[in-house]
Amino acid sequence: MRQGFDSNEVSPHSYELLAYPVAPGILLEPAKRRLDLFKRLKIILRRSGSGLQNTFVYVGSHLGPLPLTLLRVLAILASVLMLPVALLGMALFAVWRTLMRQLALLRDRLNTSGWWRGPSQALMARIVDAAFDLEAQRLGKRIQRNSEIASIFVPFSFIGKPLNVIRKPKVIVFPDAVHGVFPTRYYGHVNDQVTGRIRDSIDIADEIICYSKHVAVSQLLHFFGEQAADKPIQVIPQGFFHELAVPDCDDDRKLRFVNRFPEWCSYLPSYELREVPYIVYPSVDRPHKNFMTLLRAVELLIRRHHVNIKLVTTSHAVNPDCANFIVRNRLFMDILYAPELNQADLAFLIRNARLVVHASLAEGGDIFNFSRGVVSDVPVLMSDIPVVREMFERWNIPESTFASWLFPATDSEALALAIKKALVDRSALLEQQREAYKQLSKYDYKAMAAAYYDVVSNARLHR
Amino acid sequence: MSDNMADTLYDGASRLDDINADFRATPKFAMKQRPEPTRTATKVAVLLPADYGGGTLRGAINLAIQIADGAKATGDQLVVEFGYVDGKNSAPHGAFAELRERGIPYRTMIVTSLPQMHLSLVDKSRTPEHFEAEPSILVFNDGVSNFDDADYRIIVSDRLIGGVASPTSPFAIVAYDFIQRYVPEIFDSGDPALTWRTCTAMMRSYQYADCVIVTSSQAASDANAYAGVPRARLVQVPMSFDPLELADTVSAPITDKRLENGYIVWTTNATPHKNHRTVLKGLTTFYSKNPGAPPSVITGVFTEHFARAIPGDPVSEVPYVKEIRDLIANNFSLRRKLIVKGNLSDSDYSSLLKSATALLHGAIFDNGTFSVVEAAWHGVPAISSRYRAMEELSEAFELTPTYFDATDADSLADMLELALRNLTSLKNALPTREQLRQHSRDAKGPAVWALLRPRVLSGPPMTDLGPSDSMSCSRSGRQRLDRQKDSSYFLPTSSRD
Repeated sequence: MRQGFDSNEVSPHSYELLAYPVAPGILLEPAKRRLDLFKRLKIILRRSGSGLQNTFVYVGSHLGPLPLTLLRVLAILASVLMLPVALLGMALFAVWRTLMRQLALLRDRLNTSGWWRGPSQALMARIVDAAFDLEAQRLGKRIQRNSEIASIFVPFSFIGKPLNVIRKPKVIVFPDAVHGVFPTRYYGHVNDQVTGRIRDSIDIADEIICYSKHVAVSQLLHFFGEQAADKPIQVIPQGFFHELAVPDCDDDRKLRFVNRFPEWCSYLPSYELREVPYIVYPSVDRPHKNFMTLLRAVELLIRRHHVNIKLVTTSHAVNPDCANFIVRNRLFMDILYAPELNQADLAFLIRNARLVVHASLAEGGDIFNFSRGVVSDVPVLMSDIPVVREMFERWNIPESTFASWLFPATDSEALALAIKKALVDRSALLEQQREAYKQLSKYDYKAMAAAYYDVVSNARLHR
Repeated sequence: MSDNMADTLYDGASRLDDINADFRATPKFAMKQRPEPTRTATKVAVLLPADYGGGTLRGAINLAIQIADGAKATGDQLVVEFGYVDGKNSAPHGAFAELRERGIPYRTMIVTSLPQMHLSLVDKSRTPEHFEAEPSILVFNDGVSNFDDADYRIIVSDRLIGGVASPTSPFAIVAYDFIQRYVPEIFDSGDPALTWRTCTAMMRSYQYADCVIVTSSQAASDANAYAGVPRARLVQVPMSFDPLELADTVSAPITDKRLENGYIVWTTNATPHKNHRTVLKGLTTFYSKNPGAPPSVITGVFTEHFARAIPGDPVSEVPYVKEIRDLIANNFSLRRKLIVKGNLSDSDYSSLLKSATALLHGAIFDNGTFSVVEAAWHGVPAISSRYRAMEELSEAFELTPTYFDATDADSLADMLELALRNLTSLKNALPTREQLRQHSRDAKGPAVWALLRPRVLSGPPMTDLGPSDSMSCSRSGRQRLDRQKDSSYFLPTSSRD
């Protein structure tokens, strides 16, 4: 214990005393227990300064006159230059910040016109596009020179201006312009360049084929009326997949599911699909595919209605909204992802499902999943969208028949109830759909191909 | 060398040849076959690997008793042991009396996890296929044998944290429910991501279990569809209950003056799936319309924390528990009409129940509660939320509780009113004790043993059955697959729902 302790002088050692005020013979007031930080700092600086000085003296005392002089000169130079160096550093920092800000703006700008790409990827995409254009033109010139080629059939509408070199009848397929129907959903996904190419393709086309009347009227003529209004437009629906009628066999295979949420789910069982009840939505999760409504419906089914059901999708990607929903509602063991399936695995997946649900908000033409489901003896529910209605009305199937197969596209509660009902009335639903399938299957891919051939072979130059 | 010595040596050598020949012929040295066990009694360990009290502990004890009694009835040589974790939820006094009566040894254990590579010598023929790929195993450290000498282990819980159970013998897991599938909030405590990662990791054990034992078709379908257990490895044992007969002889009269004119017993616990928010809202509506109605008594594990925060007890600080506590404290009707009794012993609970006006059960989802059965035993009608497991339980025990919608507080209030108006007819509709005894633990014991017997007494594992394309099936399980086509091995589950 220190003797003669003066409580007005605070030394670093006094910290111990202040921290442990209760000591024999000494009773310190609570106020004195507070550390005097400023005074301590002063003491530390003073001691550091003297320490630095002592160090300098110590070093100096071991150096000869020349190194010591050099040291002094360097010290003077350093102190003189310190201010400009500091100012230079500040200036560089300001420049760096400005540069970063500008790069961010540039990145944002490129991102809005790219496909969610960073600056370098957008640049690469432009290079690839340019190379594609050159190659398409080169090919086009070859086609033009070949007298045996009477007309050109292009099964999509993304080529654009490079087709101009071909002075032969060009039949272009316009699948859809869904990014125009849902522009904010596709914000950043489809750039101006792609839309420009579609416009150019339509402008260059001599005849246009659409998969459905709805798309021809509400998308082709609506968005590209200036280019398409005076062109011959043919509606050729998709034909039926008879080849999908896979024979029923005792298929003992196990599909592997991708664990998309490893930070939440350590282990995803390899479910025996022949035993586990599930709904399947064979589709890629694109912005208009309406996965969210289906996820909400499944959540309601499991959590509110306590239905034992899972959802399996073949999407290779999960969009952030859906991912957040799945995590927030802890559905990672009931929403399964089985991407990149071969045909046999896909057939197996559909065949063992309780229901196929097609929830898309828009399609270019007939719903493949309807035929896929029905030929696999699995009933199908579809969103109530114009192309779906057109698919059935084309064959004079009355609304009273197919209305129960449809659900309001964005109403998850209605979808949940529709699924619940369909799971109970599965056989009856399938029976009804088989009747409709008989009608639709009269128009198969051969008929479709014949229609295409007819259009292409009779195509004439529009101008 | 003398001739005698040579003869002796020759005799010795030929004798040695005979001995070696015998050795080579002895099955125990055959590489692919395991010798017949030298003991005649099969040892089964029933293990409760987590600190459970209440119904889960009771269920595990009952299962051990059913197996022991069932084996005794069939004349099978069986030794049953019971291991449990002794923690905060310490077993109520007298919980193990029945085990003692049947000569079933029981001891505490600590469940730990060890890296598998430290197992130097393990009978590979008894380990599930691909088990060696698992990084860690669970050890049930009882300080005695770790139950390593058990021929079969029945683990009453799927909360197997930190490893996969039992490399030394086939094991079954008892899964009562998969509440998290329907009420995910029960796992959202602390760090939700870590909790869920841990809980999903626990499900790895299912792929190595010889079978998964369930007590309801709801649990069976969830075990299949959620935990990925193939139907062939599901064993659904009949529901049974444990009549609280003891309490009939040990009379503990109700001394609480507030309960003199009747009361409703609300048996619950402190977990979110018990639906306290909706029930409390319903009770508030009910009591505001019926101020003279009998009060409600809350009882169950951790429910004492609803009355007041208990210093030093972390359960009191759980956000959900705090929320319910505040809900009650800030509600005048509830403060007046709700009496919190906390967790009661069997005899006290029985005393409380037998004088009750009605029993209330309000869970959103679980495996069904036997509180309604116990209430029926005492002639007390029940008001219950409607969900599949509860319907299944009621049907099994021939009960007709008054159902309400678990998500609708007004529905609860209406059904409470209805039930209290029709108490007499509801009581008359209850099954008699004789009818209920047919579903008691002792009555169902033989049926339970009949279902588990083929699994437990399958004998030593056979030779390698060849490669399997299924990681989820143990060797001993696969050899039983053919036999599972015989539906007598498990109660018929509902067809794919």
